[in-house]
Amino acid sequence: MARTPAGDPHPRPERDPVLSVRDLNTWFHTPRGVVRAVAGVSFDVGAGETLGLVGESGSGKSVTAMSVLRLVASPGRIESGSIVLDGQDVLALDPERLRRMRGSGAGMVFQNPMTALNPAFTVGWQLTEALRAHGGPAGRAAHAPVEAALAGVGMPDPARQRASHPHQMSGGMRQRVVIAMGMINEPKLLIADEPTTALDVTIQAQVLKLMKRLTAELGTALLLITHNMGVIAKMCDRVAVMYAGEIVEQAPVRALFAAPRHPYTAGLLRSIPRADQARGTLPTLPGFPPDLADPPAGCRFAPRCAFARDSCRRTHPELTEVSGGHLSRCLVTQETGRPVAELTAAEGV
Amino acid sequence: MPSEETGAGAPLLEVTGLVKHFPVRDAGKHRLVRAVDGVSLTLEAGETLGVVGESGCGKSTVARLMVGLLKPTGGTVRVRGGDIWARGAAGTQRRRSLQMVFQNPAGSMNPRRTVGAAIEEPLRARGFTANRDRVAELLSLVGLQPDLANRLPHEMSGGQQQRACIARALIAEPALVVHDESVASLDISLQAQILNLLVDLQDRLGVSYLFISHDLAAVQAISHRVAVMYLGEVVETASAEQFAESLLHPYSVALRRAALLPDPEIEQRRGDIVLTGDVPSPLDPPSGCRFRTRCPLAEKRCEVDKPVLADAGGGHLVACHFPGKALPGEGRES
Amino acid sequence: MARIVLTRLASLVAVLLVVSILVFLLGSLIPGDLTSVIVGQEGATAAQFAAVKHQLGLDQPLYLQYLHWLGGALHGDFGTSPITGRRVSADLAQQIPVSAELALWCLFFSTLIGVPAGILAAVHANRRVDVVLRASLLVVFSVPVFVIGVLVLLIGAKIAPELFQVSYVSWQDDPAGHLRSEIMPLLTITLPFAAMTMQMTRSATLEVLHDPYIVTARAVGVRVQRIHYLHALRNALPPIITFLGFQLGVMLGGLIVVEQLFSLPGLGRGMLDAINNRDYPEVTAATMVFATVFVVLNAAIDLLYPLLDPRQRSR
Repeated sequence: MARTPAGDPHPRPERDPVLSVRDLNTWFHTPRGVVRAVAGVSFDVGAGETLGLVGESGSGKSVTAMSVLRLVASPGRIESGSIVLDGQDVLALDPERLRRMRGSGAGMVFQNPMTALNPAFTVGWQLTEALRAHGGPAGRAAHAPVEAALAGVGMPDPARQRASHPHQMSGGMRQRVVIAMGMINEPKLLIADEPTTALDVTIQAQVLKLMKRLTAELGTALLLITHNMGVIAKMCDRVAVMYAGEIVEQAPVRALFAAPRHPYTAGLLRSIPRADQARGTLPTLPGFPPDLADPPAGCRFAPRCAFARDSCRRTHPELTEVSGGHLSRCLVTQETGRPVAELTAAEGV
Repeated sequence: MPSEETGAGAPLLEVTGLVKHFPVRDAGKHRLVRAVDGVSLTLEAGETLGVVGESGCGKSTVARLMVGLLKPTGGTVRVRGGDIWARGAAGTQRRRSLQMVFQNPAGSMNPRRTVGAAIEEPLRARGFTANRDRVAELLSLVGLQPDLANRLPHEMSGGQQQRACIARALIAEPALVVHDESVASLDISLQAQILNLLVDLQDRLGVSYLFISHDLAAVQAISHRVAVMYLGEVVETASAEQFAESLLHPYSVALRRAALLPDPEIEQRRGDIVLTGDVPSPLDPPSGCRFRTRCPLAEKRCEVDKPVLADAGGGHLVACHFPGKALPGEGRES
Repeated sequence: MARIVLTRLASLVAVLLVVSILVFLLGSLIPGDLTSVIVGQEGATAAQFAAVKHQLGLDQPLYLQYLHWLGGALHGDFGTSPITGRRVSADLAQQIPVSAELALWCLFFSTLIGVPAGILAAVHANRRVDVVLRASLLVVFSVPVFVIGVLVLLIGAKIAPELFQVSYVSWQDDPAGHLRSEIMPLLTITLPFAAMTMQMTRSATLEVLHDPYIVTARAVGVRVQRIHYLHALRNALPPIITFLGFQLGVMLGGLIVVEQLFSLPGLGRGMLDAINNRDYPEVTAATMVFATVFVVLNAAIDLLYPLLDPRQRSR
């Protein structure tokens, strides 16, 4: 497991990664056709590190996150690939072992805190359910650990919150409860799917700070899914950029932002409005993402790419290392060895 | 076409002391949600005023008050000097010169009618007959193919739907278009396209925008002036340059810092300015300065002495006892 | 909270009052004159006619008759039946327990069968199990309850006549025989009600199963059965219970048919007999009992809501 098999470009950390995903394919069998939402995705998350999975809607990032714990809703199905979490092959687990993996091997935090909690039960009861599911205490005996968990996520007055219902809490407080539920069994990995998208930006700041502190304290690995490049910049050690169901670029965070090596990443970074810029025209990415039921033959980004050549439209590129620890799925940057900023449109002709 | 009023010198849009309270029953008692509690703004022709704030600040209510979807509990809204709630045709005309683009483009168009029918609706409402040419003109103006007029909304992408809504807002040549989170539901790569379109249309047609959003970056990309709202009140108003360089109100500073930059060199080094607690309820706003419960600079004085909007120089208005004072956590190293 | 309860109780009393007026008026509108029924057709004299009428209190203005009746009813005294000569309340006292027993068993078994079946159908929505269950639902809904009753009677008598007792035996006389006599009527009335319970449970659960907090529960590792029967069902209960509250009226109507078919001496059959005999006091009393049960149970369900859905409780 520690040796890199030939052809696998993923740089291995010193220790075994907490999560290792290889060639994951999750497809949706719809009346329209087979939608390849996740098409051959591979990445690792090491202990204590934060990997960001960034992309727009339809990129496959949320489906990837749900696939890790096999929570993809039908008609979605994991077709092939391998998911190794904490040393165990998730795709081979029987239902009971899978259930035990959920919440204790990896915890999840979802996007919308307003709907993520059960309205009929108290917050304390729901946290107790999380404990109970993994052999923890129930009833009165659970009061103390539940209140400790609530205090751990910065809730004021944990004893009172334990007996409260979700509708009595604000969005930020509910999200803290969801985080507490995900972390209460001290999993090795926390998967956060757009955890702050539905929150106000000052509340987002609180929640992100909380997540950073918790994962640092407990050494938990964090798989952070978002479309917000600012969140990625603040939180992540490494980043994987997804487009049309594939990872198109993967790199340490500073390298990705300073010198992106895929035209999609570069285009995206340039087109985002920034709080430190003034009124003016932004460079934009032309076109639209492809139909995942019928993607283009060659590089999936080629139709929108200023540097695309004929070879880009013919061959489907692989994700390979183009610089130390920096992977890209762009044929042009692979061949020239240069970042996108140093390419000119003439390269593509 | 709206008639020119006491035009000379009057700003295009002038809002004075706007108040909107909603009566509710809370646990059997009659109470008031103080959604908007004394807001004053001005807007000149051809410019964009950005209004930024978080949940509960009242910006959506302000949007609806601006276009006459809601009637104010107090205060006035004036277009070219004339009250939009004046009786009779004058008031109606003025309200019609204010249009709105909503957050959810699919939800704001009738799913059973074509996009073309939706776009020409404002003309029909004024008694003009259907005009295919004008619809086609507007469609190309917003960057869409004219033949899309025969499509139904769900046959278009989100970005295209929003462009159609913009066309609809512009077809009757309004004086002001209010954007209520109009780019929030779009993908990030599409937001830039729409923001560019809006800037381009403004430069070409001279239309004014009131751009309401929680996204500071989007507001800055498009605004000449910015107002920051908190719990029903305006706490700071500044030009774009003043906003970029010298924010004065602690809430504005925290808001700005929370709008994360796509730059790990900056974000992973500098300290956090994190506000404590949640936004108080508009049913029961704090006494004195409404921001004091979350403000790191709050002192005893803030509880009793409510700060008013005062000019801190160059038209930069701020409502705080300690404008410009550094917040803990401000500065480069954490 | 107390305020809500008091308001609801007040409106309950108001509703019952209005119902009593309607029931009384309806009773007085029944064609045919009670007086002539009693006096008979043998050509009675006007004086005899008037005497009977006075005896029955029917010569008084309608509102006085109503108030008189209401006064008695509040004491549980519904007067005397001119047909049977017995006190109406005594008849009610004998009939109500029979109907109540049947109704309660029906509720119990319908829930026992209908709820798990509904959850099963929802969990396996659109797969074989669900299709089979829904097909059988359709069959049960399509067949009227009296047809079901006759079928049950025929089949039961044919396959195991010793097991079923066609005529009613009371509990005091013979407990075993009593239970045997309940089997067929219970089956007849339970089938439609269980089907309705299953239908409603299925659709309510199906909606809830798509809610995000169910995904959260799965992600946290809660056992599947617990998710369905506790996390999901709890949220599906309000619409199920509301629906069943209304369907109670249908069940009460079904009681009339079933009691007649299986000769059970319950309130339903008593009412049917009273109608046939023009026994107005019995009819109005029985109708009032049915109406009261229905209204009170639905009011109870209303009050149950805040218990089931914490969002409805005042802050």
